[in-house]
Amino acid sequence: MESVFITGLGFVTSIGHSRASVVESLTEMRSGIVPWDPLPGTTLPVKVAGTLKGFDLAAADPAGWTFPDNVEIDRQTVRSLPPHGACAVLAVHQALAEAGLSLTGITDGRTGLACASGGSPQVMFDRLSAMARTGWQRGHPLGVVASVAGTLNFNLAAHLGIRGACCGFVSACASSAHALGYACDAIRLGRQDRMIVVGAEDLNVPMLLPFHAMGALSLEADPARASCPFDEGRNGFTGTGGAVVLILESGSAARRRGATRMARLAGWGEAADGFSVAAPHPEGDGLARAMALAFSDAGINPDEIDYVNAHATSTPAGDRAEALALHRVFGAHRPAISSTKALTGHGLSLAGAMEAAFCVLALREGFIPGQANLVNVLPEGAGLDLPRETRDTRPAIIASNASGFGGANVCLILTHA
Amino acid sequence: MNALLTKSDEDLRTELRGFPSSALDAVMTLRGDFTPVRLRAAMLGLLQFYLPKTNARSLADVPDDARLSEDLGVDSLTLAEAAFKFDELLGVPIETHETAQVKTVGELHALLCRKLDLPPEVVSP
Repeated sequence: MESVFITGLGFVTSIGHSRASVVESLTEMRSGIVPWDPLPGTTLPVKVAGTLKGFDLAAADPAGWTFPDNVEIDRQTVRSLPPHGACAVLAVHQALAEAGLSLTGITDGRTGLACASGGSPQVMFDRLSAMARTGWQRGHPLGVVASVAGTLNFNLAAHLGIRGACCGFVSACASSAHALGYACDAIRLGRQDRMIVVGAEDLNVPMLLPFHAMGALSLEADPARASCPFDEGRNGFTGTGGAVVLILESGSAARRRGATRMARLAGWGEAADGFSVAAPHPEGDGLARAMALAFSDAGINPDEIDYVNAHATSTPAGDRAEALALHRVFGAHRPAISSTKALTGHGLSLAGAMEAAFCVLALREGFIPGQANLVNVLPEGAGLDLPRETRDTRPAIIASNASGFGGANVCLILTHA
Repeated sequence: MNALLTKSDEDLRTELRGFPSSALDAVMTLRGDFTPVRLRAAMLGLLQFYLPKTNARSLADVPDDARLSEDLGVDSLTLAEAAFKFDELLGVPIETHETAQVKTVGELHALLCRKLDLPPEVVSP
């Protein structure tokens, strides 16, 4: 069976739009969460978010979007994209460049595409509203492909000329972790030599505020207290958006073209809670089993894990369940554990890919991200190693967790190349 | 009343955010002088925005017989996109089957004139 390596990364995130800036933010624990006022003159209950600095993607029509000065993206490309799709295009070109791949090198049918986003409620709302104004007679011709779940794979497959696998993954906040897992399997089974994996999500009112109706969002105005995973005072998650891309490649394909292998995706596991449509299993049963399956798939023992990038989103139920799952899986072993969502916010479908990419950076650059915004550890977290500061230590094996609605849980195992 | 005539400068700036300023100017001029000549200028100003980058050319002096697809690179999807913008901006209900029959700049102008009850003057340069 082929080994799977990561050979390229691309970032458009709240903590940076390049590998270098993301590394700097993670090592210095620099937060991307800032005051957020997308509808001036209103009183939104949510006060902060992990925004994309230099981007303005608030307009319903892509014609009104603005990008950082050094970013170019033409109208023909963005016209059928949601806001997070534009971020994905930028991130995918970053990742291809880092991997040393050209567009002509990915169109032979041996390169596939696995994408994850929740679609774009903003674009859908706008396009449906416009069509309703015509009595459902006429509408924007690109409204469907720019808004429904699947928009990323529709657009990126065409943009990149992908002729291999092309699929979207929808398991809420586990979506892009699932995309990575299934992409890993496509390579291990020999179906593809290379997979481009994309996680992305909008950050705007129609995407985020429906979570307020579930009571899932923090209403704190202080960025340092809004997203505080594993803290006793946590009261909900803080949103973010953007896109992260990972290029996965078989060992033989990477070797043939002399690509730099940044890290290895050694295995993964998934297990559902079978419990609730939205709430996690109270003791993190599915997540614990997903971790155990991932260790087995990767051929490692739990006590070999140096660091866990936790899913913990700063919700009361989710962090508690994950803490209990971590205790159950690791027993007396105490890997370092942190949730980088304290710095980024929670990117929903983006989260799994973003955090797996952070783990690749930790392996390559030699650090363990600290747990920002942690003041008082939740009772169930007692005994866990939650470092308050980033450690200047090179981990060898990392587990990255992701959990989504319906109790979908994924654990990815990343190691040195 | 035509929808355009009810829109303020601020409305138009919002609706045309990201479009070239020449397009906004042409639409504002049309609002004050609702004639076939002004409509053609506004139509071309807006259409300019939709031209593919690989085929970008000034439409200021484009003749009526210029073919949208072959000469300007405006494919059917792009024309449908532009038509929906005209629909929203000018209040001109343009059906998909109508744009499907439009092949040239002059035919598009004639279609808009017909929809807006403007006399089909010959205005091509």
